[in-house]
Amino acid sequence: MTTEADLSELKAILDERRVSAGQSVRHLHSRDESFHSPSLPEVVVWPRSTEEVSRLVRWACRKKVPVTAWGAGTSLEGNPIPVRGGMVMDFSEMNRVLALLAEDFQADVQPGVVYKELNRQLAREGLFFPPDPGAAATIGGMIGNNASGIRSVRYGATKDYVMRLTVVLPGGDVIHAGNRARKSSSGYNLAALFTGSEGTLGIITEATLKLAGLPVNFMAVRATFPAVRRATDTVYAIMRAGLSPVAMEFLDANVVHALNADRGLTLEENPTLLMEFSGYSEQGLSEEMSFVEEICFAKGALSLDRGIGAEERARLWEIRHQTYESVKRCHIGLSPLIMDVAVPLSRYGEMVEFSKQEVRDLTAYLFGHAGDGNIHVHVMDNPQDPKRWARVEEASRSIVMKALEFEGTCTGEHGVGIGKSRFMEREHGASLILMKRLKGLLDPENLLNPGKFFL
Amino acid sequence: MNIIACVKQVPDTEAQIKVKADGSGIEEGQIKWVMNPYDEFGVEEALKLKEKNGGDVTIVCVGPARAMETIRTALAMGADKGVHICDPAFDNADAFVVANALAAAIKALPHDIIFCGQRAIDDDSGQVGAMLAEALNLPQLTLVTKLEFAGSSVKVIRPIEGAQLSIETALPAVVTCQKGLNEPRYASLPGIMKAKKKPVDVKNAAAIGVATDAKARVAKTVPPPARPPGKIICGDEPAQKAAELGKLLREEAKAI
Ligand SMILES: Cc1cc2nc3c(=O)[nH]c(=O)nc-3n(C[C@H](O)[C@H](O)[C@H](O)COP(=O)(O)OP(=O)(O)OC[C@H]3O[C@@H](n4cnc5c(N)ncnc54)[C@H](O)[C@@H]3O)c2cc1C
Ligand SMILES: Cc1cc2nc3c(=O)[nH]c(=O)nc-3n(C[C@H](O)[C@H](O)[C@H](O)COP(=O)(O)OP(=O)(O)OC[C@H]3O[C@@H](n4cnc5c(N)ncnc54)[C@H](O)[C@@H]3O)c2cc1C
Repeated sequence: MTTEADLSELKAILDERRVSAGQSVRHLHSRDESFHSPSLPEVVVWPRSTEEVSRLVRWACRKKVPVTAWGAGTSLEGNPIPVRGGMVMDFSEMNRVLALLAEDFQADVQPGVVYKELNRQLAREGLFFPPDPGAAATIGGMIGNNASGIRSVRYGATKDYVMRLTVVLPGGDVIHAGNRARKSSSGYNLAALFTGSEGTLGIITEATLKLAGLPVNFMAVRATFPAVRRATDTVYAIMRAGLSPVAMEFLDANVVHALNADRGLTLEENPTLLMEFSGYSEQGLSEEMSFVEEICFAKGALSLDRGIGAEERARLWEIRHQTYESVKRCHIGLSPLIMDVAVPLSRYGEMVEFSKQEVRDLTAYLFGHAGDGNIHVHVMDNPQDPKRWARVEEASRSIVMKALEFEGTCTGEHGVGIGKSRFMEREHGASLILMKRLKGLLDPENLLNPGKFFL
Repeated sequence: MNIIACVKQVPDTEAQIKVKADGSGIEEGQIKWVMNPYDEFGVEEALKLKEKNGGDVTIVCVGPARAMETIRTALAMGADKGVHICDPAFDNADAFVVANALAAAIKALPHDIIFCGQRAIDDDSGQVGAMLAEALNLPQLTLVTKLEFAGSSVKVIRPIEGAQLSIETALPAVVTCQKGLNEPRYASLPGIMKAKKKPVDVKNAAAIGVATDAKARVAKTVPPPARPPGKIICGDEPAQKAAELGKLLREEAKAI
C-alpha cells in the first residue's frame, strides 16, 4: 500500500504534478477497452525520460510495489489493467519523435507516441510505420502487445519493425537491445523477446523503428458473396494466385447490417471482402484489378465495387475503420468479448464456419484480417449476468480449442492479458515452463505487470 | 491550363516555439519547417485540376533559402516547376510586401488560376491572398471548401455562418483554400526523387522589381501570458464534487 510518505518520495523523483493518487486518475487507469473487471492502481506516474523511469522502477522494486506500463489503454484483453494495484506508469508525456532518419528508413521514438501521429509526421518524407491497429494506440502499447492490423498481410506485425529498444529492467538497470543494421546475426534476439511481452519483462523507454515507403497508388475492391465459405475461399484463391494484397478483410453479413444501421448506408448485407492493392502505376493496378475480379466472380461473387486512386480507396474502405464502434453503438449497455484466433490460411474457411456455428445463439459479429488467417468473433453481452456470460466464455473456449487443433494461436494480435492466460498451457505446453523461468529470471519478485500470462 | 499555387514555409504545428530573449522574433534553431497546411489544400486542388484538365502547376514561394525544401515538397507531390523569391531584403516582409512580390512573379507567368492558403498558421494574418488578387486586379474567392471548374469560369462554395455561399467567376482568379476542400496527397519516395530534377527559378527582389519596405513593423514578440493554475476539486463523493464544479462554473468562471 502506498502511504503519504511514499507519495512524497515519488514526488521527489518526478515533480508534484506528475504523481497522482486522485480518484478519477486512478479510475482512468483501471480498465482498458475490454470487458475485464477494472482494478484500481494506488498511484499513477507520468515519467518523461529513461532516467526517471529507471529511478521509479528502482524505487518500486525496493518497496515491492507492482508496476504496470500504460500506453493508451486501448487493449482488448485486459493487458494494461493493474490487477495487483501498485503503480501505473503512463507514457503520455514521453510522446516525442526523437529522430527521423529518412535516409535509413528509421525513426527513434518515445513509447508514448500515438502511431497515427508518427505516421502524420512521416508522410512528409514519403514514409510510414505500417502496423495499424486502428485505435489511438501508442508505440509502447503496440510493442507491448506485438499489435498488427489491416496491412499486416503485406507488411507484417509490430515485431517486424522493432530494430532496437531501450528497456528499463526490474531493479532499474537500463539496457539497449538490437542495433540500427537492417539485419543482424548477433546473438539472442532480445528486442524480439521484449516485443509482445506486455510489460511483464521490462519497461520500454525508447524504440528505433523500421519504416517503409508509402505506396504511390492504390486500388481497392469490395466484393460480396452468397455465403461465408465463398468469401473465405476467395481469400485463399487470391493469396494462392500470388497476388499480394496490402489488406484483405472479411466482414460477415450482420457486420454490414450494423454498419448500415449505425451509419445510414445501403450496402448489400452479404458476407463481404474488402481488399486493397498498391503499386507504382495505374496501368499495373488496373491489370491486377481485372485478375482480382476474375477470381472473385469465379468464386461466385454477387457484386463487386472497385476503384483506383486515393479517393476511391477512402470511399471503399471508410466502413472498415468504423466497424468496432458501429457494433458497439448498436448494443449500448453490453460489453464486448472479442475472440482473436488465427489459423493457417488453408484452414481459414473451416475456422470461420465453425466459429459462426458456435455463436449462433449469441449476439455475435464475425470479421477479421482474413489475409492473415485472423478472425475476430465479436460477442456483445452482459458480463454481470453469470449464466449468459458463462455461455459466452464457453463459446470462446471452443473456438480457441478449434484454432489450436488447427495448429493456430489463441491470439493473433490482441495479446494474452487476462483473458487468454487460461489457454497458454494448451497452446505452449512445455514452452510455457520456459516462459515462466524467463519471467522469474528477469523479474524474480513478479512486480512487472503481475497477474498476466500465467494463471 | 496554367495553374499557380503559392506556398509558405511555416513551423510544424508540433514545434515548441520559443521567443528570443530580446523579443525580436522566435528561436529558429530547433524548429522543423513544413508547408503551411492551408497551402497544401491549394497544391492538392491545383494538382487535381491539372489531372482532370491538363496543363501545368507552378509553385511560387517567397521565403528564405530553407523554403526551397517546401517548394521541393510541392514538386514531389506532383507540381511541375517552381519560382523561389529569395532575398534577405524580405526578412522583415509583411503581408503587403509578400503579396506584391508574389504578384510581380506571377505577372511574368501565364496564369489561369492562382491558389493560396486562406491564411498561414505562423502569423495568422490571412491577408496575402486577398492583397495578391488586388495587386493582380483579379477576382478573389476566399475561404473556399469546394471548387468546380467549367472551362473559362469556376464555381466555388464558401461557408458563411449557418449557410453556404456559392460564387461563380470568370478566370483568371485567385482562390484561397480552407480545410475541407480536399485531402492533400503525400509525396511518395519516387515523387521525392523526381522532384530533385524539376526546375526552380530563384529570383531576388531586384529581378522581379518590387519594393521591400514593409508597411507594418513588428514592435516586439512576446509569448502568450502563462495560464493561471487550474483548480482541483478534492473529495471522495462524485456527487458532491459535481455540485461544487457546477457552483464554481456558475459563480467563478461564469461559464453557465
Ligand atoms: C477499436 C479498436 C480496434 C483495434 N484493432 C486492433 C487491430 O486491428 N490489431 C491489433 O493488434 N490491435 C487492435 N486493437 C487493440 C489495441 O489497440 C492494441 O493492442 C494496441 O497495441 C494497444 O496499444 P495501447 O497504446 O492502447 O496500449 P495499452 O493498452 O496501454 O498497453 C498494452 C500493453 O503494453 C504494455 N505497455 C504499454 N506501454 C509500454 C511500455 N512503454 N513498455 C512496456 N510495456 C508497455 C502495457 O502494460 C500493456 O500490457 C484494437 C483496439 C480497439 C479499441
Ligand atoms: C561460399 C559461401 C557463401 C556464403 N554466403 C552466405 C550468405 O550470403 N548469407 C549468409 O547468411 N551466410 C552465408 N554463408 C555462411 C553459411 O552458409 C551460413 O551461415 C549457413 O547458415 C550455415 O549453414 P550450415 O548448414 O553449413 O551450418 P553449420 O555451419 O553446420 O552450422 C551453423 C551453426 O548452426 C548450428 N546448427 C546446425 N544445425 C543445427 C541444429 N539442427 N540445431 C541447432 N543448431 C544447429 C551449428 O552448431 C552452428 O553453430 C556462406 C558460406 C559460404 C561457404
